[in-house]
Order: sequence, then C-alpha cells, then structure tokens
Amino acid sequence: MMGLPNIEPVSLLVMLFAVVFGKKAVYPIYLYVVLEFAFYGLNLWSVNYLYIWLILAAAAWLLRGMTHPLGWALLSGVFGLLFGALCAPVYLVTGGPAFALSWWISGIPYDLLHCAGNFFLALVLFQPLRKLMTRLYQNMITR
Amino acid sequence: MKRNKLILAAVAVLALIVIMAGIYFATRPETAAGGKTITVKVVHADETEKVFTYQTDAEYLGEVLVNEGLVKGEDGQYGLYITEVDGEAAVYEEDGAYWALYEGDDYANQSADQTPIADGASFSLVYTIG
Repeated sequence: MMGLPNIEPVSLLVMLFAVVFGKKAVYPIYLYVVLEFAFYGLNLWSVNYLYIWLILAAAAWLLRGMTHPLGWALLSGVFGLLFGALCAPVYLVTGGPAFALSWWISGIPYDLLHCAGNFFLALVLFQPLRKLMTRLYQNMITR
Repeated sequence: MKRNKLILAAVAVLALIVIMAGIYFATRPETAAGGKTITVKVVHADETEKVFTYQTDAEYLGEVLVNEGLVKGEDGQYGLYITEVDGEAAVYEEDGAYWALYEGDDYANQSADQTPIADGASFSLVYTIG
C-alpha cells in the first residue's frame, strides 16, 4: 500500500497470527521484520520494529477470547493511534525528551490516519480471516 | 466483550483521537507567507532608489527576483545574467551598462541565482556603467 502513508494490513495480520498461531506467531512476525530490514535497510526505525509488533501480538493474544468485530477494530485502531508514541522511546534515547516529544507530535496526523486505516481494515476483515485461518491451521495440524 | 465495555472502549478511543488532534493543532507552528524576509534595493540610472521587500522560502536570490517579476535576464555562463530591473534595461553592448549585484555593501562575486539568501538579508541592484 505504498503511496498511502500508514495504511497497512500488517497490524491485521499480526493480530490474526497471534490469535490463530499463539506463540508461534513470532515466526511470521519476525520473518516480516527481517524482510523489511532486507528491503529497506537498517535505520532507527529498525529498532522500533524489533519490539512494536510484539506489543500488538501480545495484546491480541490476551484478548483472543473477544468475538465482536468492533472490539478487534478498536484494538487495531488504538495500536495505529499509539504507533508514534510506541516508537518515541527510541528517539528519546537518541535525541532526548524534547526531540522525542516533537517527533511524536509532528507525526500525529499520520497516527490518526493509521488509526482509521487499521480500524476499518480490522472491522471488515478480521473475523472472516480469523475463521478461515483457524480452519486452515486446524486442518494442517490434525493431518 | 460485553456491549457496555465495547461502547466504553469506543468512547475512550474517540476521546484519545480528539486529545491527540488537539495537541497537534495547539502546538504546530504558525505558517507564514514565506520563511525568510529579504530586501532588494534598486538604484536606477537616474540614481532614484526603490526598495522591495520579499518573503520567501527560496534558497537563492535569482529565483525570488525572477518569480517576483523584478528582473529579466538570460542564462549565461555564470548563471543568471540580469538585463532588466524594475523595467529598466541595461545594454552592455551600447554603453557598457550592466546591473551590479551587491550583498549588503559587498559586490557579489557570483550571479543572483548562485547567491544564497538568509532571513533578513539585504541586496542591491545598481545600474552601473563601465
């Protein structure tokens, strides 16, 4: 989804991996992270990527009993909304509190966009994809 | 998740969105017509002077002068060669006249489009013969 800043299906997929695969979700999540590093090189954002998706996966795993699509949409939306804040610690270390704060604030419009994109993608796709992935995974492990 | 908790969560997210949007709009710097203010003094052949003030984000003087319609010129070996300023042409081939560029009080060693501009800078274009 290049050209649409912060509109991404990764959050949706991370949540799905967490609720369907459980702890094994770390494999596809960090495969994605490694591929990102390979394609785009290493930078400060690389440090963010080492932990940020794990936060969403952990939250999704803890809420795996949730069945309402709105609940998953809200979780994904909140993650998008807080994406900048969750990344800010890296800039706190590298640039200090003032830099981290100004970095976060200047990125708020992108966080709002991220929230909206995540919300609607999850609202529409999470439940049907969860059912499909769960069925496929169950079929795979019972063979 | 119970319906009430879901509604509460939705309201909390909306509140967070409003708060974050409020923080952003309350703290973003005010926009200006241009980030830098410069003055350009034109000294005509009859020694009358006019001062022009511009607000710009441009990096080089030539871009401002051309875009504001103050000068006309040609692309020369060393950049923009100014042939006309504020409606008055200087024709070197006729009487050796040209438009001399000054940065502050110093004669510029480069053409206008190679002259960087900073906020508060002053320039002069002086009709000069010889």
